[in-house]
Amino acid sequence: MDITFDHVNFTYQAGTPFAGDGLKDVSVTIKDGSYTAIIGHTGSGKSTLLQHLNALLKPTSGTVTIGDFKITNETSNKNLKPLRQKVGMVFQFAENQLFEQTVAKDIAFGPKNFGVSDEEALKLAAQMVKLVGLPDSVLEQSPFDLSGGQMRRVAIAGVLAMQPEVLVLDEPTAGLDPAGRNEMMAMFQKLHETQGLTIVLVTHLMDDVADFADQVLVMDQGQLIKTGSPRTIFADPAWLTAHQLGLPKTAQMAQALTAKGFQFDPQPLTTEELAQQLLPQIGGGAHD
Amino acid sequence: MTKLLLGRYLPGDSWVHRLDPRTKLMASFYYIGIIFLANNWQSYLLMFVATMVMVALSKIKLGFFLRGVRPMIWLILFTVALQIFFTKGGTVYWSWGWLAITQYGLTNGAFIFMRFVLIIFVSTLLTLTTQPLSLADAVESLLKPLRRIGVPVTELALVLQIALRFVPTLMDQTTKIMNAQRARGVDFGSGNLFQQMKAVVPLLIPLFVDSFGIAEDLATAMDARGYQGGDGRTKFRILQYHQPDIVAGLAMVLLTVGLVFLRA
Ligand SMILES: Nc1ncnc2c1ncn2[C@@H]1O[C@H](COP(=O)(O)OP(=O)(O)OP(=O)(O)O)[C@@H](O)[C@H]1O
Ligand SMILES: [Mg+2]
Repeated sequence: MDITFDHVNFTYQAGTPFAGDGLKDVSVTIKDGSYTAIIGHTGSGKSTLLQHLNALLKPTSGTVTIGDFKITNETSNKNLKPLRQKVGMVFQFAENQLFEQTVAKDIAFGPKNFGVSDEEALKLAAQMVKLVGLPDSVLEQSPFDLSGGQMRRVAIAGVLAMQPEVLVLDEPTAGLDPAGRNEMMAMFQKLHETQGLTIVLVTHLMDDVADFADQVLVMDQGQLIKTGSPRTIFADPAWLTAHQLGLPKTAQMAQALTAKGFQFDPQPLTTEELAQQLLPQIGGGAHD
Repeated sequence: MTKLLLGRYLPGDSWVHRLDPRTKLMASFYYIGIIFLANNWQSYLLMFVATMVMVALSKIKLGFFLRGVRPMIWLILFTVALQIFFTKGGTVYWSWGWLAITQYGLTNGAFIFMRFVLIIFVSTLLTLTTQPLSLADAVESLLKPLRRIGVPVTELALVLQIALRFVPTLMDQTTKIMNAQRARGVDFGSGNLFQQMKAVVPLLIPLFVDSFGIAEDLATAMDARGYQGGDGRTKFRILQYHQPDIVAGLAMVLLTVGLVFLRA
């Protein structure tokens, strides 16, 4: 499912003096099967943009097209369920959405709402718990007895269980330990590669952008100020700093090394690229 | 959720905004009290003009006040209808069995309507121009004499302040959780009563869990900063009456005199 924003404006609490701009004239296409990262400093409208992906928010003007669904200001709130099933959304601090007595029931909640049988939904729950790296034993536990990080994984499992075609992730790893973060990101990457899941990721971690994304959207004050591949986005460090963004660690290191006389072309974005370009310059040959 | 206007503060720097919150609180209650003195066209007209002057002084658009009336409109119309149909006296314009529309009925209906609208305008004015926390301060300050007879005024005020402080937080949290559950296929506000009640469970439970979490964190934070109850604490915001407060008080006295003079 391609997702297209066509001149989308969104105003929070339109028609009151509390009105605030959420989005200003955003036009962009997110291709089916792509991995898109959205970056921008805090309050720049990333979460607002995400909520347009499954019509939780509707544009004040302009059109959002998601597969066969056309969302405008006039779209009624009815009949949005099929859309919500296709676009799975993991919110910031997703652990806040848990409510059932057991982890299994909570994960099964989404699929059941979309018409999957109880039995089938519980089977999905067992699969998803494994997928997010939790032991089977948690299935019958109360979600409120788990740690924060485990709760986050349960919430993510609950969204994956809906078997969406598009997975929308709003800072899914904020507050997880480094190992957990790597595991989660690897799991999303695997789903992306094996099942062709379209992924839209909001993140403050430039390393994740460099490692996973093939398209980057940069937001600032509700506007989409730059779109491009990670390579084009990270090519201009001064511009990034001016917008309170940074470089991935590899690019930072390459920058520091350039100051010492090393040369890199193109700019390395992943650890492998950095190592490959560095080796010949420090006199090492290729390993066999 | 966000359409709720009552209790919404509109930042501003008008004459009304700058009044002492105690003055505004007392004047509002006083005004709501004396409006029951009005009983003819002249006295209601006086109250109407007085209210419009206050609204004008607040420099807030009339639309906000009208929006405050909207959620109450059915209650108002129902009460007005009762008045119209059940007050007897004067010329009878229409009757059907024991139902009748009479001259007295119509005037009474109009008066009740006026009274409702003016009371809503004035309470809306109070909440639009006064920060909730200032209101809580005002309540505390006004109730202080009750401390002598053992009422825990400072503690009550603290409870009130904390409650007011967390209304927006909890509203935000409600929106967030509703969105998360909508994304998992919950339809809020559709289906029959039973389905709607069932839809609320995934909202209420996380909200409760969250509130307890907030309460615990707050208690810990207060302990950590050495909070030990309110007695003997000094205030950051000290309430003090100024000249405009005296003017407001005099205006209320004048209004009362005018009312007594004009009423039948
Ligand atoms: N419910 C709301 N009502 C009014 N304004 C809002 C609301 N939610 C967000 N905003 C405003 O919209 C703007 C964009 O907010 P948004 O949550 O999309 O930012 P963000 O890029 O996701 O930030 P963060 O990185 O902190 O999550 C902010 O200025 C915010 O104050
Ligand atoms: Mg956000």
